[in-house]
Amino acid sequence: MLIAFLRGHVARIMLVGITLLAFQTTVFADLRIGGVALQILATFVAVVSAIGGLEKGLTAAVICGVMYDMAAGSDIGSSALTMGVAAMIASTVAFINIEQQWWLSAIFVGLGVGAGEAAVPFVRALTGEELIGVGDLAQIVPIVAAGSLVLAPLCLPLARWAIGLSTSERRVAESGAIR
Amino acid sequence: MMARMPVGRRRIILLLILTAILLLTLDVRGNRFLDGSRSAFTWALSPLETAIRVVARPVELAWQGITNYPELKEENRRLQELIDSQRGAEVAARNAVAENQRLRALNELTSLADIESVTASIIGQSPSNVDQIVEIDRGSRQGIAVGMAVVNEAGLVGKVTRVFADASLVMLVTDPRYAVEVKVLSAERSSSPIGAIEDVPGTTTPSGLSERDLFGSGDAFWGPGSGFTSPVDPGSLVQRETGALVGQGPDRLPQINFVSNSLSLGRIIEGDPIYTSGGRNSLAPPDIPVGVVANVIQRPGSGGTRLEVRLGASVSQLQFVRVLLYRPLAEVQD
Repeated sequence: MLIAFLRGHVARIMLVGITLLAFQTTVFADLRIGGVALQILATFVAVVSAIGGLEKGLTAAVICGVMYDMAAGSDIGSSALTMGVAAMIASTVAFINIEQQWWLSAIFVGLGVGAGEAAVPFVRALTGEELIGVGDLAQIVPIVAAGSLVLAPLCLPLARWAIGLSTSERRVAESGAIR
Repeated sequence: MMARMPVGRRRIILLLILTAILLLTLDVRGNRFLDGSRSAFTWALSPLETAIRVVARPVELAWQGITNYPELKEENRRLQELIDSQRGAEVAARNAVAENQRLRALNELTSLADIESVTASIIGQSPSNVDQIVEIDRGSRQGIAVGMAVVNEAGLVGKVTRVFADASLVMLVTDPRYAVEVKVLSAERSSSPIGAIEDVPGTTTPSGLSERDLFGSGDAFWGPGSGFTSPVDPGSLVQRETGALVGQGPDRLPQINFVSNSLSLGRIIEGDPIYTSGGRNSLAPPDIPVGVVANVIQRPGSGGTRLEVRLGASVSQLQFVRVLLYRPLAEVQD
């Protein structure tokens, strides 16, 4: 059972997630563009959702979101919800075109991560915090979305490995026949 | 989208969303298991973070060199000017601080220098774009507890919001969730506003030090040597108003709301210094320099006056901070 778990996509998502989280809390927290930190972990979640479907995307959102909250000190579960928003939007790419283009997937990943970032203050408000940072969203969201668009191709091989998408499955998925 | 999915898959998606909400509810209400998991996870993640930091350091430095070069050059020039202007005033400032501490000791008044502190270095900042939080390398093993005030040589920086064994999270003054009780002080003045503090008789401000030197230009200094003593003795200034200072985000000045700017108390003007007010329940001890009044905003109706505050500490460029091991009187007496 343990071996099956380790071979499954949950363990792989955890492994990739924790590595990307370490990058998120160090490199991406320090190297800000216009004072805005790019969200590599949310991008990974969105890419998983775009290529693996909403179910796997939300699984990645819960796993990576909980890890992110543990490291960042925010309320556990809040980032899972915002990453879930990113996953939901990124997964819609499969519904609007038959033949999946990489650039279209990247755009949807960017849109999803941007929407997830925009949802952060509202999710925080659910826990009783004041609605903070809404005024800054106009500056933050476009940078985060554009950054995710650029980072999406880098996350693609990691996401494929994490969800165990074989080459043949990938070809089928890329032709739009999967899901 | 959901309508096109099989029922089993919809159930799984619903289960995942509910899991997130359940975790959120448990954590907000306070759960020992989650707190323990958080500490363990942070401990487990730290070696990986350290390794990545070491590997990525050259890349980070190169990036910052490319993107910040003009600002660094300009800042270097400005700091050199500041050093030159302060060199002469430093000796006078040391004398004034020493005199102030002697007088306080004679009168059995406590000062910030009497409060134990722990020096810490900044080891990270929040990956979030909403939070204004940094991580320091000292934690509960060094006596740090949640709520303690964090300062640097230029004044108030923030407060501790979460503590681990060897690390803590510090919420900066600029975070919109941060609030601290402060007092606005000003020197006695008649009808005409003062220009600089050294013009006012009775203050212990060393001659040659202007307000700009004290607060207005970033991390100027307060407390030459090792002691945490403000170069201006707050006791020698007149308290005009108290209020709650609230952060407004990284690019905005913190504000003090609901201030009465009545003629009877004397007008508050730009440049008036702001200190923490302390009090039985306040987490920050009194008389920590916070900054100066940058703008006085008159609002119509019952809104009252709002003050914008230019912070003494440059919170976006922190390297080292001190955590004051101070507990509010109310807690100590309980």
